[in-house]
Amino acid sequence: MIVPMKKITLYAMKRERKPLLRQLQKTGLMMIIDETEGAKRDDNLKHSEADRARVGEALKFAGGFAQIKKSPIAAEKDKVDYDFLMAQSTADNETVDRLLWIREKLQINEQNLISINEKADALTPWLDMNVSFDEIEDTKLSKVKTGYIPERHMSKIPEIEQAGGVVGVYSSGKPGVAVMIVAHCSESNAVFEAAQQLGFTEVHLPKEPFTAAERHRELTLEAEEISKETDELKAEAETLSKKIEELQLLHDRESTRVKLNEVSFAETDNVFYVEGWTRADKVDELEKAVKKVTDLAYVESRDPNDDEKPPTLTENNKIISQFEAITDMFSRPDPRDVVDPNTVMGIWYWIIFGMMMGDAGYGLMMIVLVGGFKLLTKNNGKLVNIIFYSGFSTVFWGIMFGSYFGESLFPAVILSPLDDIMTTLGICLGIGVLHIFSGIAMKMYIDFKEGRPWDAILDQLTSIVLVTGLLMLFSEKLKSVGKILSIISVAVIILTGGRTKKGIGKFTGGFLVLYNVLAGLGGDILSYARILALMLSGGIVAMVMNILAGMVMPNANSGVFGWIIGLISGILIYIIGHVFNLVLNLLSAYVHDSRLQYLEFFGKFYEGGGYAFKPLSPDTKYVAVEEKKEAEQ
Amino acid sequence: MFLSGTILVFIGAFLATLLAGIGSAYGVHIAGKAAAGVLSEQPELFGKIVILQALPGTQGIYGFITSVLVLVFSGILGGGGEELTISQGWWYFVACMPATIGGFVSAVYQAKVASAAIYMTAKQPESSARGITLTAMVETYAILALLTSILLIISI
Repeated sequence: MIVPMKKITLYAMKRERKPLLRQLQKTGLMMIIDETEGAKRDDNLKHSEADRARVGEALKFAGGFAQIKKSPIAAEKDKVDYDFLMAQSTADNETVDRLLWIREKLQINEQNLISINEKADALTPWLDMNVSFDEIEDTKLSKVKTGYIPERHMSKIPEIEQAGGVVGVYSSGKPGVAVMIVAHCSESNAVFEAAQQLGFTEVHLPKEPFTAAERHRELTLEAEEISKETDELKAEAETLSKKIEELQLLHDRESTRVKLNEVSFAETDNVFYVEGWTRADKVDELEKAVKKVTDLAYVESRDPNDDEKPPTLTENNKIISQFEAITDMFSRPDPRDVVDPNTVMGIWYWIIFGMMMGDAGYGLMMIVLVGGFKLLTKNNGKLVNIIFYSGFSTVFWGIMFGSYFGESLFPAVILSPLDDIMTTLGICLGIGVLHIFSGIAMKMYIDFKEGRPWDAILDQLTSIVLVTGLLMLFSEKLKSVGKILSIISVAVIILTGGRTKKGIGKFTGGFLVLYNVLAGLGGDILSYARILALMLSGGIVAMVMNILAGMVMPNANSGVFGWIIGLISGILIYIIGHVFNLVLNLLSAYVHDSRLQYLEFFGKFYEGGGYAFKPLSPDTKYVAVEEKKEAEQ
Repeated sequence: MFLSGTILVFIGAFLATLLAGIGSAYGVHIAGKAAAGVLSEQPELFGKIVILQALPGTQGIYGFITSVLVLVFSGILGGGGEELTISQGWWYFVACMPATIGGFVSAVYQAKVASAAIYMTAKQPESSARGITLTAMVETYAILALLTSILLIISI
């Protein structure tokens, strides 16, 4: 059922905007639209977005430290009150500040450590030099240079000495061997030229009153201090990460606040207003909720205009509502549509899914495995539920076709597909005919409701009669009736098919419609052969798995060792093979069942085109906002 | 005798799994490359995209089913093991061909639609079901080919 909507305009005093919007978010009754002319958003939107980002960063950082025990059984989300949630505040939360501060500090420390290590590394070749750096200076009569000479030229150092230089050689490092060259002023040019020819590169050591060894020790101490601080900070972050739940709550609060501040509203000097949609049956509740905040508010509600498209909310019973996911993936119903396709579609989807799987054992696996998964993870997703419910129809069809994990443990109730493939094909196409007829019947209903009774009779009913008549021709007993039905419906289609056309189209239109009906419906019905193909492919692969497992299973001749190996590998092949086959079959059934609904069934009557009803409500990820029923006064 | 009925059945069964398998492997590979590209930027779409990648893989299974069916129905697997005549062999061989060739070709084309659907899903995650439907359209012909093969095999 498509829930009717009312267009709501809420007027109230400007100063009461925040409490009112909070009340709307708390009750989750109204979807606020942002098409209002001259609409604006709350000034605090930027702030709340920044807060959300900050908490998000802190949460991510703390998550890296938190030691959460992963339990296979998902816990229920904590339930909190809306007012409690909104009372949280990021602005004065020390944990967030501290965590972000620690994160920044850790980054700085890491960079410092890198640069200290670089400096220390550069000093290593000079460690043997017992002169402090500031003493290395040119004097009146001598020039001195420090630098590196590539290791391969070490043997040629006497060349520099021949030119008159004195060379002090220290340890080697990455850039080469550290050397200090001293030369008399008069010979310095020749000496340094000789050095340059050996690939000497000069480095300017820092003019500091330390020796290399002293400086190196200092740097090491510094690095140790930073590492110590880093360890302390990490320990603190780990302690803080125990408050991760507090952060999660904050994050939910900030997301909820962002939602609230994103609401677009328009205002005059004293009054503000918002526009949106509400379920027609909840207008009273909305008015009551508004009254609770202020008396100075006016809720205007009216039916949608012709040019307005309200959002779509479908309401069906617990089982059918799961199948809404299939329709929504195609397209949501337009609220102005006459029918909600979900009930009929859901039943067919359920039936056809079971036929495509067609094995009682696999159906049992779907119920047990998916049911167990639902219990453990508290997952209540619609697609998961669809597979769970379809498990029952799979068991049903499995019993009908006598297939249990690919074996025929019990005789089939109807028939075994592999024994009589043609009849099984007939059953599949028969299901297809019924499915298509129900689609055409839906179209008839829509035509009647929308005041086109002639379309319903001349277009829809005749095609049903024509297909029925043609099918009767296959049966000896019904042949004569079938002939009459076919001839009448063909005649009606040819005579009336062109009724909306002009001129010669009135005459030829009928033939065109007849061709479309025959070719279109014929192709549609044949498309249901895929049910048989999927049923067989699942059954045959299951059979192969059984044969493979049977081949390695121990027999009378196997020894003790052979028994163990055979039994274990047989069981492994059996389990893995069947689970693999189950998953593949589920995928195929999901895809092809959906296709049959979208093309063959929806093609007859349904277009969709609606958009979802998303009322303003808390946006939480980690906690559930509890709907606290307040006592009626 | 070099060419016997049994050998022909073997060749048919061998080609069905091999060619349909090659088609599917190639198809899954094309779709997989598209999927990996999308997932590098939107890893959260994995659940939707992996379905699209798996779709061109079914032809290989259809080929395999054809192989098993032809081996069972010709009596080679689990049968009496009597020698088939050459003409019987040709019948089974021809019966394998729809699923073999249809599967081989359709898997490749289906993969191209699957890649396109994967890119579409990357841009509009909410339209993934439409992408799946478009991709499944190509599979129709692989299913029809498989059905024809099955019907031919059982009618011999």
